[in-house]
Amino acid sequence: MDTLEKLKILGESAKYDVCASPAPRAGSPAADPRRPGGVCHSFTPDGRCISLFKVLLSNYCDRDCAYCPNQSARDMPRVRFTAEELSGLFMNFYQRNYVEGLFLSSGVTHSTTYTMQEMIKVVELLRNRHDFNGYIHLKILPGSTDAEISRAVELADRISLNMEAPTARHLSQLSNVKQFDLDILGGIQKIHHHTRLQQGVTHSTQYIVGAAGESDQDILSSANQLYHDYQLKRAYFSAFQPVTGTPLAALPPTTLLRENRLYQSDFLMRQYHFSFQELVFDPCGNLDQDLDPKLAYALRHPELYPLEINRASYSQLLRIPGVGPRSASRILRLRHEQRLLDPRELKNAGVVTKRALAFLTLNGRYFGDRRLLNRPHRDHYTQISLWG
Amino acid sequence: MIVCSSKPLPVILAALLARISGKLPCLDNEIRRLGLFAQLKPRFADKEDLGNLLDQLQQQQNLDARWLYSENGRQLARLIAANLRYQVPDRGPVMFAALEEAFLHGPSYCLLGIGDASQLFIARSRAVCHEVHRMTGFIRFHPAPNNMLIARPKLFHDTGDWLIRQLARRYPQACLILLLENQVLRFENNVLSVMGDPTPFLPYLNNQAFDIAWETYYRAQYIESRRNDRQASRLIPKKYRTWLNEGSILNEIALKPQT
Repeated sequence: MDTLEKLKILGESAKYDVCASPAPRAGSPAADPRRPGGVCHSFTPDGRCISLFKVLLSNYCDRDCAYCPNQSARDMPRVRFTAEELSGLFMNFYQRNYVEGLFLSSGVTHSTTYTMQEMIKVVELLRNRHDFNGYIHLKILPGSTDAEISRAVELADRISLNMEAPTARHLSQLSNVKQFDLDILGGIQKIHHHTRLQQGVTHSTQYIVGAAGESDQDILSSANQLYHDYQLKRAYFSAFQPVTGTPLAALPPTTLLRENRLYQSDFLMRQYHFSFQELVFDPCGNLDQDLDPKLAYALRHPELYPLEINRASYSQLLRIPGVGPRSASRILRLRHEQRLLDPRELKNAGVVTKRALAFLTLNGRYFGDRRLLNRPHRDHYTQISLWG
Repeated sequence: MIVCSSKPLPVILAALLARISGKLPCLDNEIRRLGLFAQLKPRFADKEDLGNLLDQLQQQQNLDARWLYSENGRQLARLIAANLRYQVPDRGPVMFAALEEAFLHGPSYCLLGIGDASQLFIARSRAVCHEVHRMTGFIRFHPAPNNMLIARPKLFHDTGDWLIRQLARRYPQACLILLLENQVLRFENNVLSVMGDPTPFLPYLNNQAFDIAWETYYRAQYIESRRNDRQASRLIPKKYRTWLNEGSILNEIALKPQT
């Protein structure tokens, strides 16, 4: 099979893995502060950024993960790259400026150790033979040894081990082979140990949303624990999509809106000073699909609003729907020189006034609709549409 | 009429002088191009003394603009430099109106884009910086002998030299060639030079083999159930679609009905 055909199959096999744009380790040439971060080299028709060359080393796999398009029982063409072939192909893409870095994962062929060693070989070739100093995100396979993880941390800028499900009970519905405590949590513990010793290397994880009947609360609780206990950099959420020929093919797909609400809640915890306990869940433990999590929080706590924009602290500003970290910083900076008086000034500062005005006062004046605070009803709030 | 050259400091000097004297400021090249006010004798602001103008502003109008000496002033100069590269006929009026807001309301009012003119001023500088940032990712190089990398960018503003310097950080060992509409930029060993004739470089742009590999990969990454035309056209605007390889794929997908 020629390289182009392999690229098609192994690129397609990797497309459900989520990764962010590069954030190179401190001190590496790729981390030159003069170089812009987050360069996207293209965008797919679904709006996802292509900045990394995302590919599997092999889609041969002896695992039985029920959601996975590469699972062992599925009838599909199986191919693999050699380490030389993949590293050469990547360097061609990189030199022509099609991509910024590499995202490498693989199906498990022969054994975890064999596959991890093959993946590490690719990265070693890039670092040593091709002198590639850019960004590499390397997947760690569940069950990898301490030595393999240690070597991966030495070579890559980011490594990740997928949680897939938030608890052992949920994971058991997806795979009979993977052991939650030993392979997944044990692996993340080892990764945490090694990344702590290697400056600038971070680790992330990914959840499949909706494949094992888990609630949003289960997922966010698990992510929150990883942030605190293992200094996880990012948790990614991938809405489950049924794949023909897999045991879960008949399961309905998870809505992208659910995935989006999880990301919004995750951002509230990481960047908006919200604690997990402050997130609003319904009795089944799921987030409100109609309201974004911050708006749901604000409607649950009308006693906190309206906030005076000229006096509120940074943390308080971040709790106003329509105000993000950037606009909150701008407001603080502006307040050193003058008071904010006009909603138009607020809008120019980056605040989404349509949503924010009900929750704030400007120099003592209220420009919103007070009914929304006194008798909040979700119909009064218009959500920004993500899909046109 | 106050006239200045198209550089950040002269623009600031002209804005200060205009505020003090109540006369109209204008960019030198714009006034010449438009042929306006040809009968008037303009006053050139380029050689005015900044400290002197700041003193006058303080004495006559009780406005303190000494922040121009601080980081705020340097940031303002960077924004003016970006605005000067924005290709539009009313560059001057927007910059001078934004500077007026800065002198009246303080630097943050302008630098954060709070005033209406300032907002346009910031938006234009962002558009210029965004073009450089976007092109840093979108540009595709074609390797040629002597360690040359050749590309033809799609630029809407005067950002060629910024772009090539940006890219040089990624390829410190290579000789970069950018084929622009009316000139060729060459960057090698930290030296930027301008050439006129693109003909010697054109044959290298015709190698299609790797474009096919990229299109194969691009198609493989698309998840049909996540299709989002609105997001895709926001991220890759239509003006780039005839230029980018994957533009034709995006157009092809956009024509299909959404399932």
